[in-house]
Amino acid sequence: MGPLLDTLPLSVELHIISAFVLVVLGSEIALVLMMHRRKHPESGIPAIRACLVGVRTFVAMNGVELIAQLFYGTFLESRMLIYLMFLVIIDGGCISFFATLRFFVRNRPVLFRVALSLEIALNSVVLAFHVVELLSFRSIVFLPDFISVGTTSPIIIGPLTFIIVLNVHGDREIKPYYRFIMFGLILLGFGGAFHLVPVEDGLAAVGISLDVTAFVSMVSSIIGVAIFLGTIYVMPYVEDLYWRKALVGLYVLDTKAGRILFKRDFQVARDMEPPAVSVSDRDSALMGGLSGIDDLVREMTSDAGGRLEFIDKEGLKFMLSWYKQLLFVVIARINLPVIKAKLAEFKNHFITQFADEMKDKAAIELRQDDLVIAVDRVFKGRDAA
Amino acid sequence: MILVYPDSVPLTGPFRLPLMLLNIGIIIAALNVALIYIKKYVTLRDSVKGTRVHAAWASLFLGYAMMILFYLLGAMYTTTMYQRYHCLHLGYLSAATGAFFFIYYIEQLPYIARRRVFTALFGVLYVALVIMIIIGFIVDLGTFLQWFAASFWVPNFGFIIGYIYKINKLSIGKLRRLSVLVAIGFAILILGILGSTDAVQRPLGLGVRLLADTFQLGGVVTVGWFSSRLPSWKEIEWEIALDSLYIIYKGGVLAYEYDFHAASHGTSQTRTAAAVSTLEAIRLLFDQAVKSGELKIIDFKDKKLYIEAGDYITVVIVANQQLDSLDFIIEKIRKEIEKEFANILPTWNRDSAEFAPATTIISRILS
Repeated sequence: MGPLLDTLPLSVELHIISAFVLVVLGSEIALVLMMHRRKHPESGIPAIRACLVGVRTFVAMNGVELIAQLFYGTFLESRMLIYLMFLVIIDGGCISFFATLRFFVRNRPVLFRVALSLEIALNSVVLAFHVVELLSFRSIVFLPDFISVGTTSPIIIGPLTFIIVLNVHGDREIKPYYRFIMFGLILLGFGGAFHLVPVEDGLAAVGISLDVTAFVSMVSSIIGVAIFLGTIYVMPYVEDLYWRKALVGLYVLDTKAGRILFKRDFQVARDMEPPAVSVSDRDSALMGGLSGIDDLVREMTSDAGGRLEFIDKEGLKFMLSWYKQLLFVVIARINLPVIKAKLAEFKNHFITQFADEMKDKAAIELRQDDLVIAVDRVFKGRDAA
Repeated sequence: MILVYPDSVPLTGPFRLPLMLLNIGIIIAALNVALIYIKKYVTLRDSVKGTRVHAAWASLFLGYAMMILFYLLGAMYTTTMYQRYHCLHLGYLSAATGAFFFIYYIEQLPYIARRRVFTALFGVLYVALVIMIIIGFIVDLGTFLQWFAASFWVPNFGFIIGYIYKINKLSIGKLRRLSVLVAIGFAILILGILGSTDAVQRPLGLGVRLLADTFQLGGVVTVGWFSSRLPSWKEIEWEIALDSLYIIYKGGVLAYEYDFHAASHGTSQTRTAAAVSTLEAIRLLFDQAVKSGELKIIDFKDKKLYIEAGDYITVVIVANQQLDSLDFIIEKIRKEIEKEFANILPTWNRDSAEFAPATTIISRILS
């Protein structure tokens, strides 16, 4: 096919396609992350910033390659020049990535002061060598290929480790998405490795042509970055990731007896404090409002509308779930399906744990400590101390 | 005579690389739009009709992306016209499959079509296409399939124009504005597709093809951008979601009642009057308990109460579904009523008959 492709060899054309797709998809990932960061400035800024550093490096790397391949791709000697540009950008990206990563490990002196500082210093030295090599058109060679490859590998290994850590500490619901991102990064790393000049040369020495290497690199990289983009796009919105911050309180009400069985404040919210009534009066008013509201729909509509499930009071959302005369209420700042799911999980736990008490006694008495543990496990994702 | 593309392959010359990158851009953009709808399909499972619409759009853009991919391979990486035609056939098959599912899903929606005319018409053409593609792998059909594929535009055009017209007619507020922009994006996209056909390229050259592909890219981006900002498509069902409307004068007095399923309006019943008083009492209790903004929605399993409070009146809408469109409607009704009855409201004498003109105002807003 080579001679039919006008002036460009197939391997060069494949590199151009690969770089173009990666620039477009990488820019999209950066855009999605920036929009998240702008829309939700309070949630996970360091994490998004770290991701952005990695993605911008990736876009810059491929952007430079795209331009270089378009102008110089036909010249064999330009392969090494493009490769050196590549390395310089990766070195810069590694330094930025590690500097951003330090935000996360301020409370871990070994990582903060020693490990990451050493990494930054090492990449800075390597960057200096690569810059000199690039400026001299590689007439001066400081670093053997294996050192160059080794010192630039953190551009994939770093984010991969980062995602593995997030996966370990992440919510159960979000873990599959992290795994997809990991898979995408592995494919991307695989594609990137095939794109390195020493690897290409090594494979050429055993009879694998540059066209094949370029094709494998292109397919692997594009699939990897597409999985990355698809996952961050399809994964729950950032509100879902930080749903715990939206929680305000949890109530379990006995509507028959007209009293609050259990109450847990997740945060002291200004909105929850009424102007001139005590906390107990506030709870009574809430209880009265919720109990009264349940009969309302039967009066306002010709047919029964079912039980009360949700109340929107502008700043606060009340999500409700019923079991016989018991009313379970979560108050949150945003209405998210994940919070409803957690409420259902807590209700099931409650029903299972207190089945006997609810069967035997007219007035239900509950072991508050047990409930606090259950609430913390369901809503805070940890066992209570 | 030297044959040039599209009568000779592969495409070479100065247009090769720009067209290649532009087509890759179109594929990426179309896959993005498909992804937007796949996400909506996965996450908005609360409305069967809504998810059908999302699946429909996802299949349309997936089919379109595959079509462009096969066209690209045919133009850039084939060495004979016979190979190129095979690529084109696979492109037609992809696009037709996507379009078939699009029409099939959309025509299942009762507010779009009562009879599945387009599904039947498209289905017949689709079966004929599949048979001809199979034959095309055995005997050389030349450009016959290209001409046959053009016949798909008849049901496609008819359906898309009808569909967008109905969506626009049924939607309100922000949804209507966005649906117009989606329609414009679609028009640009179709113009681009027509401009990139061989029939246009032969007389007008590859410069026009470049322009047409740019149109396609612009069309896909426009459709993708504005459709991603559209609220759930179940919003267009807002009219059938409405049950009744109440206007409550301050202090909890029922001033007006509108039943969306009844012929007469404005007669207040004792039972309803008691209920709205209860609602006002509940509002006060909630205000006492929780300082945050106004009580907006009370959601029962099958009934939702939308509450919009003004200076003198509170408008309550009872609906069967929670829809963003109803926020827009209730606010508009409250503003219009307050404006129309501005002279009466401060000193209302508790005579419900004075609110009789509200029926006309509400009918006008809902029409």
